Amino acid sequence: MNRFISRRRFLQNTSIGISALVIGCKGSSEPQILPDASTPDVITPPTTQPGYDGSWSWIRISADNTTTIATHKAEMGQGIATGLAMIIAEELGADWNQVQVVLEPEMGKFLIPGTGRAGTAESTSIRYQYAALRKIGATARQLFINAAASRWDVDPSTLATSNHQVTGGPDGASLSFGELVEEAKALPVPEEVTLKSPADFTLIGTSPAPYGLDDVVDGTRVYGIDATVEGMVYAAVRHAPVIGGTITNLDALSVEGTGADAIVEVPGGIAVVASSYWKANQVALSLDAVFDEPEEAKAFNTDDYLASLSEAIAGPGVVEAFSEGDADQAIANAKTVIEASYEVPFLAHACMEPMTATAHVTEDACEMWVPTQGAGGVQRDVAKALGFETAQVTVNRTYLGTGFGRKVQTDYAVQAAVVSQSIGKPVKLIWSREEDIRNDYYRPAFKCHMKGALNEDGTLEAWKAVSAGESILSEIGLNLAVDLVSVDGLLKIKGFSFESLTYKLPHELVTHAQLQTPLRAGFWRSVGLSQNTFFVESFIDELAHAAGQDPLEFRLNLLSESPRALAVVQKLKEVASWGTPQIEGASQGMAFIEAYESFFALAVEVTVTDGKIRVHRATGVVDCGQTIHPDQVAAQLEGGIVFGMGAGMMNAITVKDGRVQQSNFFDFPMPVMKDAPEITIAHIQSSESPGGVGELSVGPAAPAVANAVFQATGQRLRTLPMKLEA
Amino acid sequence: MSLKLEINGELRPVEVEDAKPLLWVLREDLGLQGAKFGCGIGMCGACTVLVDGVAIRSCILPVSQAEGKKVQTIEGLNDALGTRLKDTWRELSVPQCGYCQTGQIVAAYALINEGKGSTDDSIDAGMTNICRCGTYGRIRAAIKRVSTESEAGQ
Repeated sequence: MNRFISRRRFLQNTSIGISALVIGCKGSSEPQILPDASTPDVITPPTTQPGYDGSWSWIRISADNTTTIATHKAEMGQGIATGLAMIIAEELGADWNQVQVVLEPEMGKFLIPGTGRAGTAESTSIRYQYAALRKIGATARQLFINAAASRWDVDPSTLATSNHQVTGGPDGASLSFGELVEEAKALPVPEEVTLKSPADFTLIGTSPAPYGLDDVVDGTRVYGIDATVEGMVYAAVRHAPVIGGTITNLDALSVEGTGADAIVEVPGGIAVVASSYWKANQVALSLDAVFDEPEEAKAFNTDDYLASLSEAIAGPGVVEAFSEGDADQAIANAKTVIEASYEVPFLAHACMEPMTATAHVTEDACEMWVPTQGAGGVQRDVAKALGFETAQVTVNRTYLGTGFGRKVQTDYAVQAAVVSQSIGKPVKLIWSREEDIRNDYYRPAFKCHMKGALNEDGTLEAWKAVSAGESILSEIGLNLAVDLVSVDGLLKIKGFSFESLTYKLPHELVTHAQLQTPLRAGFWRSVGLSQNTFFVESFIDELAHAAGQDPLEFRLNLLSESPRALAVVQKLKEVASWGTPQIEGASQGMAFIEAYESFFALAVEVTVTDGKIRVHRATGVVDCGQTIHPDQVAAQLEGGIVFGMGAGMMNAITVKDGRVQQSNFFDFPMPVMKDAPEITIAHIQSSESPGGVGELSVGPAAPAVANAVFQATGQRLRTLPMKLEA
Repeated sequence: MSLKLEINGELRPVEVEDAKPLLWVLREDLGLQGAKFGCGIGMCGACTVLVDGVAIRSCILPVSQAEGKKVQTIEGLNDALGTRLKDTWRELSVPQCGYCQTGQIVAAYALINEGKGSTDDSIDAGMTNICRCGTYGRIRAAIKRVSTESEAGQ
């Protein structure tokens, strides 16, 4: 049975008028009985600004026991709808085989004009909604129990639910939820509900088939690039080659005789419109378009910029982010001091699905179909570009062919809307891969200088970390003395302040220098952790070797005050057969991370032959608290390892005279089958609150490989992408 | 120009420029959107379809070269092997975002048909499609499972 259905199908199914109980949350509200779900009004616009933690999920149990659970997070590869629905179903005591999952793709419709976002980012979907979803399920459960108690005239506390039934009635009687719908609907919503003990979970912690794979393997899932609107034409974009440039000879350009229909100026460049994307792109490439080249951007070269990062680290512009003890004094007094400088490049996201959006703008309304991680941002920015009120813009979110943080941005959606408004037709706008690579919101390049002091017994006494790079938050108008996300991973971020990493470190000083570039800085899967985990985990490895200790044992000593961290690394020692590589002639390296309220340790086995690094095996151990769907957790960690490893070994965006030098997969290559290691993920059982896993394994991948390469060759690879000396 | 294409066993007339890549004819003119656009230069494999049984990158194949040949897309890959591959992809929860997976399945179909789906080396050599979600381990496991079954069945 395909139990995953589209919203349209769901509305058809439910229009037959079977009575149903619908329980849900509106943003941060308590669970409540909602009007039946025969129209989208089942979820009325939230009255408070939605954040990542708001939930618009609901469950509908009908009189024939058909049960539907809707969740609102973007699907871009995390399989998030399945996990979210399982949480509600668990608390209810639902029979999972009777549950249908619906994605709420039209979240944009429900955003209050001018307010926030219903974003999917920062590995927050499960951990921020866990409590709210449990409450929805538990509220529905209590309503059914109260209804049954009333019918049987017994104390509700003697009843329970399982398998879509209320059980424990007189003489072992039970009633299905469906039989109780009418009565349950009429009852007051309980103000307080009891949540299940995790020990009683029967669904959470299992791995049922994830949401919607039928459509994927049949090729019928609708991604952004597949959205189709009656009368639609296609647009291809050609951006200015130098960031910030604009077209200077628009009036001189013509599509006459080319087969294309129009040229439209859009933010960042021009778009060519035709009845085929291929035609539009061909003509866009052939036009004799001239763009101006802003001086500052044109003067930008990554070689010079990387050199300036070193100067910034040594210069007076560094700002203290965090200090504990007296690191300078401790280093001055130490017997052994080691230091190292690390560097990571700019990176593009290279989403499998290039930027694309479909827009239909009429005189007074705009409807959009967008693969987006942030429908609210699309609504806001499109309205602004069109001169509309936000309420005039409807955003239908499609499936995403990956997001990685790129699709929280709205530039491509704005362009589609601008073109549609200009030509008065619905339009699907697609970027070529070349435009995608050259016009990203890049993971900024960073450098970091680390200096550490060891005691005579080899224990770590102090370190100083000085990093420099571009602020991502200032790109979105949040100017802080130290950009939180720039140093995330050198420190732990708690709200708007910092605390020390998990490692035991008596003296610590972290400083940072913030620079500007003409490039657009953006959120790239795991954000600051993507570079800082490389810096920290490489340096910990260097310290271990300087102390003459095994890198895993060295970490165990430093993690002794965090039982969960310790357990993860101890388990890694066992499952990765640390010290005894399973591949003949291979060397091992490892890395550890605590982030997103989860703990993860990774070991890899590599060989280096003829100057080529090959990663054969990767073994990870995760403690992400209460695991909802173990196989999805494993899948996310597996993918993150390949993602982090591929970038660390292969990728750099470089800029010369303001022009991005890379353009497609031949010069911004991706790992393929032959590059991918065999990956094993082990889980630590836990009933702590769930942590995030979608980005967790990205940061540790590169340092684990670099540390293994050191073990194999004695070469310390401190610059990414990795390059061995001949 | 007017062309007749044989797509998934059906003759489909189209009126297109002969240089237009097969991918865009499938997607724009024939409404078959299972093959995806990823790079436009024949590297990533998201657009993979079968032409006379051979897995090709349809984003760089001019449609005129597909005339007179049998084109099979993911939508039409429903024989025993195709169905088994799709089922196995689900059983092992291979897809994450799923965008590249139709191309992966078509490439795997050709690989297994050539008898090259059972060893790591032949899978490494034959599967060159990019998956940004990094599902390679599961793709490999699915290919091996289907290969082993089809060999056992012969």
